[in-house]
Amino acid sequence: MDFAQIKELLALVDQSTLREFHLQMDHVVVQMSKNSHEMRKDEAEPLTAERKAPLPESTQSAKASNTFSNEEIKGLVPTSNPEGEAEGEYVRSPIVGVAYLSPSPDEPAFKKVGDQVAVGETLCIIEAMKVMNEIKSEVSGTITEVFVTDEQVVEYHQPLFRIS
Amino acid sequence: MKTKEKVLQYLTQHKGEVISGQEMADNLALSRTSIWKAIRSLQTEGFKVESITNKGYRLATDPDQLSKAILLPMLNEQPDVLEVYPTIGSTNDAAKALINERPIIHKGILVAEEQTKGRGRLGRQFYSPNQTGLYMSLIYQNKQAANAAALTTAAAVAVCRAIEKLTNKQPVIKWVNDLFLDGRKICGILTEGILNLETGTIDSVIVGIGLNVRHAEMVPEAFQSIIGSLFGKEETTVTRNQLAAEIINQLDVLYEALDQTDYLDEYRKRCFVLGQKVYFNEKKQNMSGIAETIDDEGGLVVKLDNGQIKTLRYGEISIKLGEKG
Repeated sequence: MDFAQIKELLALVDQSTLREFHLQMDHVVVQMSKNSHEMRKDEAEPLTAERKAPLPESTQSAKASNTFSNEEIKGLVPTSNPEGEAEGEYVRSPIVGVAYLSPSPDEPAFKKVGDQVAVGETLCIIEAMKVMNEIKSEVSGTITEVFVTDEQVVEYHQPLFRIS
Repeated sequence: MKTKEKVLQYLTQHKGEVISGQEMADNLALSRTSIWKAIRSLQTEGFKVESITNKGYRLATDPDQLSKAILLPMLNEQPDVLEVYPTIGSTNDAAKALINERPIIHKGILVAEEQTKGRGRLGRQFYSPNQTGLYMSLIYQNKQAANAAALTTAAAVAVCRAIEKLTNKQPVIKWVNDLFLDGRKICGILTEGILNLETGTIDSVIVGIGLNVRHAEMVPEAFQSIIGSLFGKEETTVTRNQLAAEIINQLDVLYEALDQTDYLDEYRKRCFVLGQKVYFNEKKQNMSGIAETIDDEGGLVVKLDNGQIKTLRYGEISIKLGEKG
């Protein structure tokens, strides 16, 4: 296998829906992955976190949603102050796409740090293939962190906001 | 159905015939006074119902005015909801409000004669003047995770098929799903996914379709050189009711088979940007390349100026009409 073939392979994998690709032949091993390291860590950790320590009540109820608590993100690190950590709810992207923080470029952001949020309020829009998905808050509280910038490409499960 | 709609449906079914008020009253189990009131009301709304003294009423041609009574019998599949509005802010916004009230709608159709807040991508205005266009939102239940993106691509194909079935026009598609005719945009499609907060999945998909059917006066200056319409100033017997029904019927067929990617071959054939130089923004950087093909998820595969291959799955492209790559 020469460089041109690898290049061709890379292009094919890039255009496909494959997230990962492994090839072993002759004396060559090729591994390709579109999964960012960040994302794998996020996916793997909630399970570990659940086994490590029982989560506070409020966190458990949010498990099946697109918001996750601090524990789930920090995962393996046992926290000395679980009550304090549980205050923050992470809003994560349910899809891969591009994030828009305001309804249109001329308008102010839906929400910025310090703003109050009610349940059901729109936080941002994630676009993929011209499908606009409004991301709504499942919790009420104050925006304490915005992890993405306008027009940033986001991965599945990537944290978007923290609401406390 | 309202009395007025029943009367309109009856007249449409007997198009060209003179029907007496008594006949309609008997067949629809209504009083002659109700029939008379309904006719008056339809005439006020602009339906061309002729009153022939001592004989009755006649509807000479298929009405172009959007009407539930006329649309419904033309649909192959009955929706859970069908609403026709004389004017509305935006049919997509109305669809979202409806889903809030009734979360499970297998299929819903909202159609308007005019939108006062018609919008496209990123809140851009979609000029939606009264009676010259077709503005509608179709609500579909999202069957599979991948459906939302497939549905938005399929919608472009459905509108093309409907236009080709009813007219001799052949619109072309600009990725993702703008339709062009003679170098001008005639249709825009804005799809919105409705997320379920509990599960984090897309439950329903709203496909908003805006089609400029006839030439509109008073087009804002900014749009004058960009937008066109299906028929322009040409006379036609094709009605907006027919167009709406055909688009819905065509998209229903595609919706049932979204997992098969056959419609993408049709999409590729109609997609006029392939082989052309396209411009797009990424992370606020201007980029350009030659559009090579559409992959099986509807992504646009572009060969960048530096030779790299990139597949676009979000954002939009622009092209310079007339320029070849």
